[in-house]
Amino acid sequence: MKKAIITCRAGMGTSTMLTVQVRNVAKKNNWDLDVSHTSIDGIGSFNGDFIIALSDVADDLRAKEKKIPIVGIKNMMDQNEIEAKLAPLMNE
Amino acid sequence: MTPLIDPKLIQLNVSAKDWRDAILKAGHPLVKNSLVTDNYLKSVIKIAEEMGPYIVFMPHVALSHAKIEDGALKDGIGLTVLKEPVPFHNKDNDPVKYIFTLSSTKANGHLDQMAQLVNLLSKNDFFETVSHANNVQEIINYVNEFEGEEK
Repeated sequence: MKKAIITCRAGMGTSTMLTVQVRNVAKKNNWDLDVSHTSIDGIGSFNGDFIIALSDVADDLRAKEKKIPIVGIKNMMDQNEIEAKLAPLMNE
Repeated sequence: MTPLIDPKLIQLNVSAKDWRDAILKAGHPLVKNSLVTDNYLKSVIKIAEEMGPYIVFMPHVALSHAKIEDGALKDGIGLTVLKEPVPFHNKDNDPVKYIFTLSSTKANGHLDQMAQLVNLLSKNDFFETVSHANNVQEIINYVNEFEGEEK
């Protein structure tokens, strides 16, 4: 099983919606993926496989977080984009 | 049960001079109905200034939200349709015409409610209906019908 965390600045709006979408995509692809979400301050204690955020937040995070892969999503409603960006990480 | 989008928080044809003005105007009904404090809207703007306009989560659509401690008093989701689209400086999804306004008093958000919102936005005719709506009631009717289907 892979473990992902989804984040936005507040940890309750966009990250919650993105969590719903990532779970939809994982279910569709039968991925064994554990998804949780947090505010950006909660990222420090995460020890899973990758981080998912909307692209602006992802760009910001890449400057600080070097150890864990960070996936940036441009259009949250585009399940194909989410699928294409997560598939390589899921198949590793 | 309370509707997914609160009719009191829906506005059409709102003019805004820039993205900050758009956030304030979209949030006005939430302040008026005591769902959030004035400070909450200032925090939305501050977050976007610090972190970039990630709140524009899909083409032409923003989700205006901040944290509980920024001044969320009651739960609710509203929708403002701008008269003219406004640039939010989001390189992928500009300009913004639709602003969802969210106030959530639960630390990690309301997953069920957000799942419903995602489902609503996934419907092919949602934005078409909203962009052609002549009055707020047409949007309320659409959302009611959607919620009826979801049950």
